[in-house]
Amino acid sequence: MRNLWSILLFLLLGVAPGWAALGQYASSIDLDQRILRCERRELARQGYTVHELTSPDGLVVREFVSPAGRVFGITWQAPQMPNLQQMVGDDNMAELERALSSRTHSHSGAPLIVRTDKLVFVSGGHMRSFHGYACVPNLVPANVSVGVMHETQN
Amino acid sequence: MKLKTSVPPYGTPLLVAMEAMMLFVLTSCGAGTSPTTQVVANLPVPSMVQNTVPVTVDAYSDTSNNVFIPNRIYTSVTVCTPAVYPVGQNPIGGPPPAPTCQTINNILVDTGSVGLRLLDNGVSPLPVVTDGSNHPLQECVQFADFTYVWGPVVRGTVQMAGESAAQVPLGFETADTGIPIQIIATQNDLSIGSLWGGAISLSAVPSDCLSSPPSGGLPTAANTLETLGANGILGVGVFLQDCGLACASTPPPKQYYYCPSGLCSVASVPQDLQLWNPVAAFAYDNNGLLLSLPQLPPANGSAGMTGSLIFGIGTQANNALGEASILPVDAYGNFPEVTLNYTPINAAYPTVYLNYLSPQNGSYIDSGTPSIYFSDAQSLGPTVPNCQDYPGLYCPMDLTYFTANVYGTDKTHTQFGWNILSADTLLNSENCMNGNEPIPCSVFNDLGGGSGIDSSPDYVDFGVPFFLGKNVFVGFAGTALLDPEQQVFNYTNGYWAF
Repeated sequence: MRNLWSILLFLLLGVAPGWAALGQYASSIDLDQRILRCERRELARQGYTVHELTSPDGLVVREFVSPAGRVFGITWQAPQMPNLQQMVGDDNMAELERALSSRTHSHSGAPLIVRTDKLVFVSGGHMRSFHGYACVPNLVPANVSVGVMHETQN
Repeated sequence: MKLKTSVPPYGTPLLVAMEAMMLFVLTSCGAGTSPTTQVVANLPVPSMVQNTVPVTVDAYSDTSNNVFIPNRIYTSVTVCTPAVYPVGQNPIGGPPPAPTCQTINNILVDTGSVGLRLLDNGVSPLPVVTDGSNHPLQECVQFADFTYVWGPVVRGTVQMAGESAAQVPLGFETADTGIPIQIIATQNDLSIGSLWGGAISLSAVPSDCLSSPPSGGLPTAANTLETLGANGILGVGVFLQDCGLACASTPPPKQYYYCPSGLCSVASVPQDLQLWNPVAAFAYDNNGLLLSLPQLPPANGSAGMTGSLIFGIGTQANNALGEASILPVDAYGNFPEVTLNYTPINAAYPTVYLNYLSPQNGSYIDSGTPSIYFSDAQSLGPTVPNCQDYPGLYCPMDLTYFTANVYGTDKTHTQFGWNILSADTLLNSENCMNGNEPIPCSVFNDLGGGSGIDSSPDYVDFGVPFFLGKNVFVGFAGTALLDPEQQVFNYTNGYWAF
């Protein structure tokens, strides 16, 4: 029964607009939190805010929010590759697909790195330890470095 | 800490591995005595089994599809049908057929994963693990490179050199029932023959285990020779199972599935039905392995080389740790800290000192990746990785030398260095010979790639160039070693030594 409710929830929310967080207004994090059944905490930083979501199966998502209220970056760590469409969003996934369309799709095990004018996307790690980040360069606050997404949070 | 060759004080018991964080049960099997159980640390046990298989390092090349992946470590694996039915897995009655064996070559040696995964193409049927109602257990794994594998879990006895993994070693498994391995389904929806159960129908990959629905174009299936670049993957990382306790708990992560009536739902799967590290399931030499590969001269490629995959650590004369530094890893199989130094050849760039600290994102060693990957926009230029033809790899103007210090969880650290040369130059040149004909080289010790797009330290992935010219040991989770003073060191999460 629990699975059935999960499937229904997935179907209902999966087709809803505003599913994504990256590039969206921070209010979309509420939706992520419900879908992921996450614990959430907010960390105030110089020039931006970090919303950290932790789900029971080991997924840790950090969403970086600008003073204008937009999610400009997102990082993830998880034992399995997470549902990135949910976190990165349809438009950004389409941008990722466009950027990768000219590359060969063979298993090399290597980290995946994409940089376009619209999207920075990095995926790495190995079995039981996957991690990565994505950001929309145009949304990063002028006085904030993308490197803040690597800093160990306390 | 450095350990000399470990000399265990025990006889030759059959090793029975258990999950990490526990002591290990050794079952004595001395002649004429009934088995007794004692709880001791999982120390190296002397073995006289032939424990070495050759590996080749080569490229996967498919010119018609414009695929060229250098630095692939391949070996061969023999898989036999198990001799005994597991309980509840005998749908047709009677004794199982006599075991038959098949040897599959071009299997990728991958310390970045766990478990044996074989393309279904060319593999004779093996008995499928089912839920008892003829629904096959199926597994979904997406890799960081946005390829994924999907297919049923089957049982097979895995043989390499004189070693054999005939059952999972949890201690209560029926002998000779085989270990779980995955068959990578070529198509998302097909019927495969099950040796024991007749035809079994597979379902399409469920989209909830992937980063996005596969209909969108990403991720892509690695389910053919062309897309996997191998006939299979031999996952021999530090873990004993590919998922572990998480997939045995409720709710489990989205990895194992049963799909009755074509509707897949995530399954909670006990560890004995998960994919096992085949080497950890060997009867002997099961506490780790040693990968020994020759070195290349700087700036020289090779058209292919051979090396050795040696099973066991400190169990035979050919797998002694010697002076190797032992670096324990964390629960994720990662190093807590890596520092990286670059000394500039020209004065245009400052000396670079980067510190890669977990737990944000851990650094790791991975024989399944073709380069050494790290984030560094300072010494290699402001817009790296900057290769034109090979996105993600580094193309510095000059040969660039790096030094790394890798730290274990016990603060032990060891240092080594490597060169980076332009990947476009290396991979586009025909510097190797096939007879009298110049051809591109297949193996390089100076390929580097990015693990991020900016100069902020993120993590380091030490791929195949790291392994060249070294003896690299992978110590499995839950094993132990003795130092010369007979002190026991337990490695709950496993270790690397080199």
